[in-house]
Amino acid sequence: MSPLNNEQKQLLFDYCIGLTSQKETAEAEALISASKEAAKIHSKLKAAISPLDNLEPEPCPDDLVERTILRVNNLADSSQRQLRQLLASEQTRNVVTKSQLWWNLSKIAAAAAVFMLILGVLVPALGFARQKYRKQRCQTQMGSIFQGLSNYISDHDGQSPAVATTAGAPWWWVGDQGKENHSNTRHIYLLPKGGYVEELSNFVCPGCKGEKPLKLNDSQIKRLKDFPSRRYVTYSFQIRCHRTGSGKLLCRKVLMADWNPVFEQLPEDFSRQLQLQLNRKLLTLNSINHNRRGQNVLFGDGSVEFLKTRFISISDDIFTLQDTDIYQGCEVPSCETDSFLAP
Amino acid sequence: MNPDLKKLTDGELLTRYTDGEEAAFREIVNRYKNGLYAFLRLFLNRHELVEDVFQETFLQLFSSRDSFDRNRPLRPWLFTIAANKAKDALRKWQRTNAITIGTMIDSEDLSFDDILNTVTSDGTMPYEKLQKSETAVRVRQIIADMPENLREILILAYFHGFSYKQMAEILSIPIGTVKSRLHTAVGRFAKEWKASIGSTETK
Repeated sequence: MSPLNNEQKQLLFDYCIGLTSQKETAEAEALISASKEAAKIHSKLKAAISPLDNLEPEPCPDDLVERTILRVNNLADSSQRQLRQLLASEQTRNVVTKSQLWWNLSKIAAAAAVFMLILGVLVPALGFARQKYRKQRCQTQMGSIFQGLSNYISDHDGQSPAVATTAGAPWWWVGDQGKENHSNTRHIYLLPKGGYVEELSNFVCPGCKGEKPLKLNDSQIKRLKDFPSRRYVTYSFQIRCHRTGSGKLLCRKVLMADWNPVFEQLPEDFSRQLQLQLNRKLLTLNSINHNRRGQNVLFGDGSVEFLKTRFISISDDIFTLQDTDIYQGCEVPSCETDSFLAP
Repeated sequence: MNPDLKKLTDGELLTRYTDGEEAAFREIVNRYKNGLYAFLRLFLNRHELVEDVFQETFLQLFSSRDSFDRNRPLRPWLFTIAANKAKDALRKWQRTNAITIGTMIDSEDLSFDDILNTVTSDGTMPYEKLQKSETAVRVRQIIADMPENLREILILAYFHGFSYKQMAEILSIPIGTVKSRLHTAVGRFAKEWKASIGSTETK
C-alpha cells in the first residue's frame, strides 16, 4: 500500500484530537482499519495525547457563580440608577429663560462669525487654486499646440505653417473667411485644419472669461479658412518680419502668448479702419486671460513660461512694436529681434 | 428556577434578560460556567486570576447584551472574551510580579511530520506506573509551562472541542496558523511529557 499523504495524516491527527466531523470520523476509522501505517500513527498519536485525559475538569465553584451574579446585578443597578438620575436631571432642567435666550443667540452669532471667518480664509484659497489650475491647463494647451507645430514643420520640409499674404494685409481680421489671406491667425489655423492640433478648444485659454465657443466637427473645421471668430482663439501669435530667412524654430523666439491686451477691443466690422493709439495703460496691462496677473508665453524651444511682465528682455515688449505708438493693424516688426504677438 | 428557561436558546435568554427577567442571565451563567471555568483554570493556573477573569467575562456579556447579535452562537463569543481577558490578566500579573508564566513562542511552527517524529521516536511512554493524580499534576504543570499561544490552542482544541474555524475566530488568526500551532502544541506536549517520564525513571 502506498504511504499516507499529508491529508490522510492530518485526518488521523484531527481524529485523535477529536476535531473530526461524523463523516471524517468514519473515514479515519476506515483508514486505520485498512492501513497498517495509519493504525501505527494513530496508536502513537493516541499514546502521546492520552496523558491529557488524566485531567479531570474542575467544576465551577457555586460561590463564584453567586459572586458573579451579584456583581452583574450591582452593575445593572448602578446603570439603572444612573439612568434614573439622568432622566430626573433632564426633567428638572430649567427651560430657556430670557437671559439664556440671549446667551444662545450670542453663541449662534459666535458660530456664524467663525463660519464667516472660515469662509473668508477658504474662498480666496480656493480661488487661488482655481487660478493656478487654469494657468497650468493653459500651459498644457500651449504645449500641445507646439507639438502640432513641430509635427507640421517636420511634415513640410522645415517650413512653418504659412499662407500667402500680401504686404500690408490687416492681420487683425480674425474670423474673416474671404479668399484673400489677411488675418494673422490663418497661418496657425492650418494646424487644426490639417489635424495637427485635434481639439479646437486648445486655442481658447481656460482662464479667459466669456461665452465658451460652440464645438465644431472635423468637416466644419476643414471647410473654414480661419477660426470662426475671436471667441475660438484667445491667444496672440507671432507676426514675422518680412526679412525672416526661414520658418525654423529658434530657441528664444516667441511663438505665441495669451491674448494681447493692446488688441482686446477691435472693430467687429472689418470695413472700418483700425486706428489705435497706445497710452500708458495699454503699455502696462497684462493679458486678460489670467486676470491681468501675467501671461503664458510659448518659446521656440517648446518651453512655456508664465511671465508677470510683458518684457522678454529689457527693451522687448512682446505685445508692442519698437518705436510704434499708433497701430492700424498691418504693422510688422522691422527686425527679428523685435518680438510682436497679435492680434 | 423556571424550568422553561432551559429550553430557550442563548439569544432568547438574552432577550428575556434585557426585558427584565434576571433568571435568564443566571441560566446563561449556569450553561457556560463549567466550560469557562475549566478553560481559565487550565490556561491561567492561578486561582485569583481565574476568578477575576471569569467574572469579567460575564460582566462584559452584560455590558454588550444590547449590541450582541442574537443570531450568533454565544459559546465561541464567550470564549473569545475569556481568552482576551485572560491574556490581559496574565500580562498585567507578569508586569507586577516580574515572573514569566509562559511566554509567546516565536520559534518556527512544527510540520506534521515533525510531530509524528516526536511522538513516534521511541517506544511506549510508561506513565501507567504513575498514579492518576500524579499524572494529572504533571500534565497540568507541563501545560502551565507551555508558551501562552500553544497552551490556549491545545486547551481550546482538545478540552473544549472547538473546530478550526471557531478557534481561528476566537484567537483572530488564520485557520492555517491554527493548524500549524496545534501541531506544535501537541509535539511540544509529547516532548515535555517524555522528558518528564524519563526524569521519573532515572530517579
